[in-house]
Amino acid sequence: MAGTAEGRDLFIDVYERYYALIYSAAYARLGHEDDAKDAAQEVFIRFYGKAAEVREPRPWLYGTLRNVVFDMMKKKKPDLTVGEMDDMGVTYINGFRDTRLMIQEALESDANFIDENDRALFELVASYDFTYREAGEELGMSERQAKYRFGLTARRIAGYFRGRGIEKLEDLL
Amino acid sequence: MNGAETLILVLEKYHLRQPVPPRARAGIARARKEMLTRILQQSGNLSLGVRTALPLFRALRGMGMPVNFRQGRMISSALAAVVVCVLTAGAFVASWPLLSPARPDRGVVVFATGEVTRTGADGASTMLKARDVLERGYTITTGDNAAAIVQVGETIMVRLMARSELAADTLLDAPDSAFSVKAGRVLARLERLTKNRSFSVKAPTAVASVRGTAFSVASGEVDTVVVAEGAVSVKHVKTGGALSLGKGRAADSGTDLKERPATEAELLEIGRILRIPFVKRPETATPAEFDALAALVRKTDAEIDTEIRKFQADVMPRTLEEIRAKYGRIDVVHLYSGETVRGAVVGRGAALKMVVPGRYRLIPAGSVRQTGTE
Repeated sequence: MAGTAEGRDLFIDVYERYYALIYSAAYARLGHEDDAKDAAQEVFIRFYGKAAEVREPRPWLYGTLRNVVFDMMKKKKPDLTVGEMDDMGVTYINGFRDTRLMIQEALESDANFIDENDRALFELVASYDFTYREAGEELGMSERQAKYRFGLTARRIAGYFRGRGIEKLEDLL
Repeated sequence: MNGAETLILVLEKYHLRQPVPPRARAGIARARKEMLTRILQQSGNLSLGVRTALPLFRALRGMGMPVNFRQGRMISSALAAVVVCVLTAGAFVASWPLLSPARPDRGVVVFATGEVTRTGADGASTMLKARDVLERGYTITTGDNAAAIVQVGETIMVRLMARSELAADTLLDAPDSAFSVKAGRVLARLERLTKNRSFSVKAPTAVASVRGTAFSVASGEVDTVVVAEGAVSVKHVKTGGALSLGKGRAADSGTDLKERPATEAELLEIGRILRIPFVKRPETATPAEFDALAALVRKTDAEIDTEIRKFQADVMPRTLEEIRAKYGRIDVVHLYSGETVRGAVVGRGAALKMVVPGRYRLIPAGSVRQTGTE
């Protein structure tokens, strides 16, 4: 399907939207630019043949990235397990895990984002420290649009927490 | 602190924020472009259309337009089509002078009055009227008080005067459009011809070649070429002698070429075609347009006839024949000195006022021995 014009067009759409995210996620795990590029390239090469079949590209890309990063890390540390990789750098204290899981749920909930661009924008700014201008350039929106849309998303997530009894975001700090 | 900033602090606290340093972020855009090119190239999907559409797609997204690649590709194709159309139209307009209607292979009769006949290569003759066509090899003949104007494309106009015969040797289908005047007089007018093209009118003893001008060619005992505008190259058919005639000059071609000033009457005659505008697209012009042109030709002819008559009335006769034509006689005055003066006596008194060729002459009455009339 990727060989067809339709598959190629779909691939380019997904690639242009998620490349920065996948690269950033890879960098966050691997801590090295070249390794992050290699990992992102491997993910998108794998995706190329499946562009038209994958219904939800974002989870698919993150899932594949997890496998690719694990394979790359395992070459350096053969006894590494998936669990160790996921928890790397995270120290759990009382109540921390539950709250973290609740926040992760909020970030995964479709209800908090208008569309996939909205979610990608949020992740680039909130998770990977992109400026509004940088995130906007990656996603085809102006700096002002990016700032406005990020603000709306933050409000929706705050509303999500209120639904779970957390009146103010400050309560989580 | 606003909600967005607080949320970022929350993510920071729960290790859900993994900042990518600015140095690593800076190279993302370039890496993204290079990697996509590489992936598409390896898969054989980097067609010219994709190459062209990608920058436009990115530019549109960069401007904040929510387009997908397919839409970007379609916009790119549409823009390419517009560019191709504009270039094609430009090329068509630029080459228009080389195409129809500037290169028709036939002429159109735009005016005909009196007895005008057309004889084809097969010898068949038909009466000619406005809107009829004249093709290569045709001959047009005009009778007494008849005239015809033929237009070729929108650059050549030829008028046959009464009792004339004109053959279309070649029209604009050849580099040199050529007419032959077999008898009578022809007036010709040219707008600028395209490069490498010329126009010539042949008389039995002379050929007049031009690129943009107005002139007349008359065939008779002596062929005459008169130039009203521009420049005409005249070549004698037998001797090969050539002259370049400028505005207001004429050449008589008998046994050889002789240049002289054109007479006022000769120049006025050329006005019969010089004052007539070219018909736009004569092959598709409406009858009303031909009628309007005919009215203009008749009005112009009447004006020029009047101007010529007035000129002839004012002009000083230059020969005895002209004196006879103007006054109906030749007076002969014998002087006591033995001299004989011929001309027309136009005044008497203390002196006789006589018109002699080219001037007036006053003769004291006391010196006149005898007068008579021839």
